[in-house]
Amino acid sequence: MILQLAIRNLLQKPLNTLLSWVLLTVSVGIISMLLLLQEQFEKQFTGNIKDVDMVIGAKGSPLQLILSAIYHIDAPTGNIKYAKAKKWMQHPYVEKAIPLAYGDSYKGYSIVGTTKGYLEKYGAEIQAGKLYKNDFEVVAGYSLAKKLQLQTGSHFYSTHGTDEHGEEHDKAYIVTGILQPSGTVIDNLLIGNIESVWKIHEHHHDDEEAVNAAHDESHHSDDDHHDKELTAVLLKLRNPMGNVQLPQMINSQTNMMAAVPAMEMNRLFSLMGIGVDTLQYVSWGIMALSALSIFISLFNSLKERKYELALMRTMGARRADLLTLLVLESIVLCVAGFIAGLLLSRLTIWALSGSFESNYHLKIQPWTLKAPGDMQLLGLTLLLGVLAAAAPAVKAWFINISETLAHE
Amino acid sequence: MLQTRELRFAYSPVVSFHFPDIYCNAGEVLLITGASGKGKTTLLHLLAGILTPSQGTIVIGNTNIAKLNGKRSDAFRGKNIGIVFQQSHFVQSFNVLENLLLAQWLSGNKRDGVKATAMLEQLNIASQADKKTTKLSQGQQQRVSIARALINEPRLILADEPTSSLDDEHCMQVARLLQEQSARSKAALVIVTHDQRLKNIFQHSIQLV
Repeated sequence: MILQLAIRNLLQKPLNTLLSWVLLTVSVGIISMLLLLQEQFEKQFTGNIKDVDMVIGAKGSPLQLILSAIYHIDAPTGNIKYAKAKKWMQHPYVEKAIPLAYGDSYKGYSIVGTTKGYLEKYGAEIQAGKLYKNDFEVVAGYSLAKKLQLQTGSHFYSTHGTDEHGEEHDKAYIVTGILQPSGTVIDNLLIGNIESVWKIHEHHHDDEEAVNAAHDESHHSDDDHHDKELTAVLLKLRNPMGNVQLPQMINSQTNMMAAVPAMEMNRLFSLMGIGVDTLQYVSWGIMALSALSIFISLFNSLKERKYELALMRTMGARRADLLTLLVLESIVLCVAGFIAGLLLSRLTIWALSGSFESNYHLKIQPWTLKAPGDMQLLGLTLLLGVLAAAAPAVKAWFINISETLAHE
Repeated sequence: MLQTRELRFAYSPVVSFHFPDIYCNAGEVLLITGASGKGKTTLLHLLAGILTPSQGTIVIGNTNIAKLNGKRSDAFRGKNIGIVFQQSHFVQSFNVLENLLLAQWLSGNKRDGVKATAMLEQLNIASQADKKTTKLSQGQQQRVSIARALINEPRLILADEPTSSLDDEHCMQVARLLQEQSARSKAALVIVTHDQRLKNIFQHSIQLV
C-alpha cells in the first residue's frame, strides 16, 4: 500500500516526476552506453591483436600501419620490398611471420593476399565451399559474404584502393568458400594467396617498367623477388626482448617501419579516452542534477503534504512508515530511470551498430545483459535515490503531529 | 470506556492546562465546549495520544495511553481511535475508496473493499467512491472523513469542530450522523467544539474554563 501511495504521489506531480525521470534516464543511458561500447571496442580490438607482437610496414604513421594491417580500417602506409622484409621474417627472434599484401578492395571490403598462417592465427574454419587453392581464388569472411550476398562460385572484380569508386582491375576473383563467423576482423575480409595480388598488379609494374626502362637498363635482370612487394608483415616474437630490440633495429637500419600494436592501441584508447571521460563527466553531472531535482520536488511537496503526513500518523502510521514512503518515492523514480536508461543505451547502440559494422568493421552486441558496470550503476542510482530522499524523509520523521494539525 | 484523571499539560511554564476529569461510556456522546485558547484542541490531542500529558492518566478500555511510547501509541491509535477533523483532509493522490482502504491498512487491519463500500453506502456517498477527494463538496468530504473515522470500528471517536464551518441544516445532519454511527458501532463519541448549536442536541457536556 505504501508502494502504491508512493507511485500515486509521483503521478500526482507529473511534470516534476517527468523532469527527474528524463534526467536520470539520459544520464544512466549515456554512462551505460559508454561502458558497453568501451568494453566491446576494447574486446574487439585486443582480440584481433592476439599473437601479433609487431607489424612491419612502410614508413609512415605507426598507428595508421596498425589500423590498416590488423583492422583494415585505414589506408595502407605504402609497400615494402618482399626481399627486404624476408630478412626480418627469418630473424631468430621471430617465431612466426605472416606476410600481407592488401590495398585492393571489393565494394569497400579489403582483399588480403596472405599465407595460410593468417587464417590459422584467427582460427578460421570453412563454413561452405572450400579453401582457396589457386591464384584468384578467395574465401570470404562471414559477415561480408552475408552483406554482399557472396556465395561459393561468385565472381567479382576488385578495385584499386580501399574506396568503392577506385579503378577496377580486369581480372576476376572467384569465391571458393565462406568462413564461419569468428568475431574477428576476418569476418569482413576477402582472403586469398599473395600471388594473386602480385599478379593483378603486374601490368601496372609493366607500365612503370616501360617508363623506367630508359633510366634503368639493369631492372629486368634483378632476381625474381625484386619487384614482389608486401604491404605489411605480422610478427609473433619468441621473447619479450625482441619487443624492444627489433623495432629499434628495423626503424634505424632500414627504410621500413616496425610498430607494436599493443602500444599503438593503448595510445588510441587513451586518445579516445579523453572524449569518453568528458562525456562520462557530463553524464555524472546530469545524474547529480536529477538527484537535485528529486530532492527539490520531494522537499517542496513535503510542505504541502505535511498535514497529509500528520493525518496518516493519526490513522496509525508509524514514523518509519512515512520515512519509507518518501524513500520509496525516490527509489521508484530512480529504478524507473535506471531501467529506461539501460533501454535507451541498448537502443542507441542497436541503432548505431549498423554504422559501426560497415564503417569500422566492429561488431557491437547491444542486447547483452551482463554489461560491465551495470550493477555498480544500479547501486549508484539507488544510493542517489536514498540520498535525495534523506533530508525530506528525516524531516517527515520529526513532523510534530499536534502542531501541524492544530495550525491548519 | 474513556476516563481521565488529574490531566495536566504544559506547553511552557506560563501556558499550562489543568483539565477536569472526563468520563464517557460506550455508545454515549460527550460534548466538550469552551472558548478558544482554553485547551480544547490540546485536550483532543491528549485523548488521541498525539500529545503526552505531563501528569495524569487517560484510560481507554483498559489501557492507560499516557504510558504508551511512540510506536505502541501509533498502533493503539490506529486500532482504537477514529478522528474527524474540522477541515476535511485526505491523502490527495488517493480516491475516496482508497483513502478508506489506507485507513484500514495503517491501523493494521486487512484491506476490505466490501466493508469500505458498505460504509460509504451507509453514509450515502458510495457513488463518489472513485472520485478524488478534492472533487467532492464540503458536505460530502465531511461524510467521507466520518466514514474514515468509523471504518476500523474504533472504541473512541474524537471529533474536532466537526460542524463549525457548516450551515444549520448541514450541522444538524452531521451531528445526527455522528451520533447514529457511534451508537451503531458502540463507540464513545467525544466532540470538541465551540459551536453552541450542538449544545441543544447533546445532553452531556463539559465546559472548559
